Amino acid sequence: MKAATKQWLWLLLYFFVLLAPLIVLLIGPRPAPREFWRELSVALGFSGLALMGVQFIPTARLRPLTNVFPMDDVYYFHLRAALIAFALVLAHPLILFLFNPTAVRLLNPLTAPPRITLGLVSLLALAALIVTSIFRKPLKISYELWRLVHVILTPVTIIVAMLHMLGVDYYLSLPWQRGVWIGLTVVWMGIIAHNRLTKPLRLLRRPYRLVDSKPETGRAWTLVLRPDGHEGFRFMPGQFAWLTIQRSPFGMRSHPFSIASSAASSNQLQFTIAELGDFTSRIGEVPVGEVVYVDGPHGSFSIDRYDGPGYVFIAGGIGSPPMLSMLRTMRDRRSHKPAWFFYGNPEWESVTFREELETLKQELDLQVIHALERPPAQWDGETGFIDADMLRRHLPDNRNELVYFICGPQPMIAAVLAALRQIGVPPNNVHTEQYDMV
Amino acid sequence: MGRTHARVVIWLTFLTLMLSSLAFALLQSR
Repeated sequence: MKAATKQWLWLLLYFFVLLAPLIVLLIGPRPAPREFWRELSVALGFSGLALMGVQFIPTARLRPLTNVFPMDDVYYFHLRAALIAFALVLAHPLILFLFNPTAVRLLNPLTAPPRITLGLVSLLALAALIVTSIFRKPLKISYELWRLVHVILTPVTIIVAMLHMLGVDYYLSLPWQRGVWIGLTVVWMGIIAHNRLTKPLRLLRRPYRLVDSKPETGRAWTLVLRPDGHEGFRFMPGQFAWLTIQRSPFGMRSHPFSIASSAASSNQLQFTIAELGDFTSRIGEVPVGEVVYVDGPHGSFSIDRYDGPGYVFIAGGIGSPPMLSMLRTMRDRRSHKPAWFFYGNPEWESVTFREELETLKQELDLQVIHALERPPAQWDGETGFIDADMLRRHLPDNRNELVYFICGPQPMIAAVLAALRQIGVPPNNVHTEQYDMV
Repeated sequence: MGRTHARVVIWLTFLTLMLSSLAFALLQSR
């Protein structure tokens, strides 16, 4: 099945799962009608909860989904959908208070009925989820703590909201209506259980060993992993995996990294990781022989997904590993397709893979265009950020037919997307992967 | 699917839920 067809099927399923819980409430005998505003408030609450529930699907790292949609777009969608869910759920009590101001006293948990307090707790838990996600970096919340907060508060938000609904018992009076909503909650919790229990168990049975660890230019390390007691997995060049290093796969410390090795070679996996954050700054200290758990492959950022007459790879700094995976795979497959690699870095000393790229130029129909912010003396290459003029200077006349892959930090991706629009590249030919997506 | 498509799905989600909530309230209110 084509990727576009799969995307449409997923979207149809998404809107069905989103609307079905609301429609269920309107089938069969309904409770006595009340004022419009009160019914609207209740409907918004139900809608918000249905949208919250659907959020379990995009974030569950389900491979049929991650292999179809770009993961950074999925997270982009997830955060904004959660904001919409929060707005809908917040509108539920606000509308009630607006049309019945005396109901504000229900905010006092000491005097309010427990079913109302449950609703309030759910709303506050959702607010905490959103605040810790949007302001994780300004609040200096570590990635692990943020994930722990997410893992705990997500089921709390949903279960407590469900108890609130069952406690109010207005629309869910028929057993089968209760059954649908409780069934949905069970499915949502099942996805969490899959992520936290069955998936780690499967990873535990399929460990990898670190067989080599070597420093690269640009303060990066290449880790070479070999499957231990199993065959490993096949992947498309450019895909990524979640790595758990020196930790239990049941813990919070897994991190997404692009696979850098060729998809056409052995079942060894290579990851090239720059020393950037807390976790990655100690990546070179991981001893050879250590067990690593690899949850993958994920992602659709690949020449195998988006074929074309030629490829343009545009990377900023440590956005280069997926590009290397694609170039190494093209070399191993003896590809004759033309390729261009625009590679932005602060300075020459920080260019990871620079020697190997020179070799790849001999083996492929490849042009490598280095763009340095602080070039050395006598540098005759490109300088500054990758922009429309630079792209025009190096790309052929049929540049609108080529397929583009961009990977790097979000500001760099945004700037390159604008430059590609400027030179008339159709958006459908452009694919992006943000390396700091979570 | 790209960022533009993701934006479209977000807007469709918002509009679908707002409209269906309105329809729900209209159907159910007196």
